[in-house]
Amino acid sequence: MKNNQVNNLTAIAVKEANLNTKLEDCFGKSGYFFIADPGNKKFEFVKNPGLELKKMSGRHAALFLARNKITTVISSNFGASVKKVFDKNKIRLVILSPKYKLLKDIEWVRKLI
Amino acid sequence: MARPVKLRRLISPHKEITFTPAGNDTSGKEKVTLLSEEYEVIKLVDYEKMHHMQASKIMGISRPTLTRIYERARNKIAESLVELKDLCLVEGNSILGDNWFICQQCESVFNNPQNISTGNKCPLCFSENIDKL
Repeated sequence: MKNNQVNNLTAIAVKEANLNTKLEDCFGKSGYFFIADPGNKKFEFVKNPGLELKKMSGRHAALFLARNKITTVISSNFGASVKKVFDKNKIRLVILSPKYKLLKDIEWVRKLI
Repeated sequence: MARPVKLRRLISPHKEITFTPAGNDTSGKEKVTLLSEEYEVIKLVDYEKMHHMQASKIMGISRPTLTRIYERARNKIAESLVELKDLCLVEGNSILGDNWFICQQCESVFNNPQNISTGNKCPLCFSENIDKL
């Protein structure tokens, strides 16, 4: 992921690296993150670097997103260690309502892609 | 007079969910209600594998209190499993640690750690119809 994309970056926890993917319920167990910069109309899928870890996978993923200047993270469930990293880095958390199932269910994502 | 119950701090808002044993008619049966702080303790101790002391600091309560809540939660879950009763997650004696908001349009929940002005809108559907939790 390029570090020069710093403004208003949003990460969404998803299962697969395609635009028809389902949203992942658990932040640490997501296969990929859909990283979007709505202002510049750019997006990419990034593999979750913490997925293969047996312990603290969520925290590892959270630190990775914080290093890459993500400002908002969207998922359905966060753990305590993840929340601590996000609070420290002032990253906004969005907990999806159960009516959102697919990445395309989010209106601004549909407009972006 | 008994001392009022100290509110337990939650990491994030919980969804109100009911777990029903599949294939069993639970209508008419008594339901088991799991309070939000009991769910939080199970999540921290059993799911995130935290020590009781660590979890109690996060929730702003003493270690013995956390252990009592933990035991009560496990008893309730056991009752639901063994007696095939619905397990309902409901609000209990808890507060949220941060500024959390709910969008009345899409029902998503979000916080605003930087107190940015766009915090007045839902980050998903951009509705301004939001309430503080």
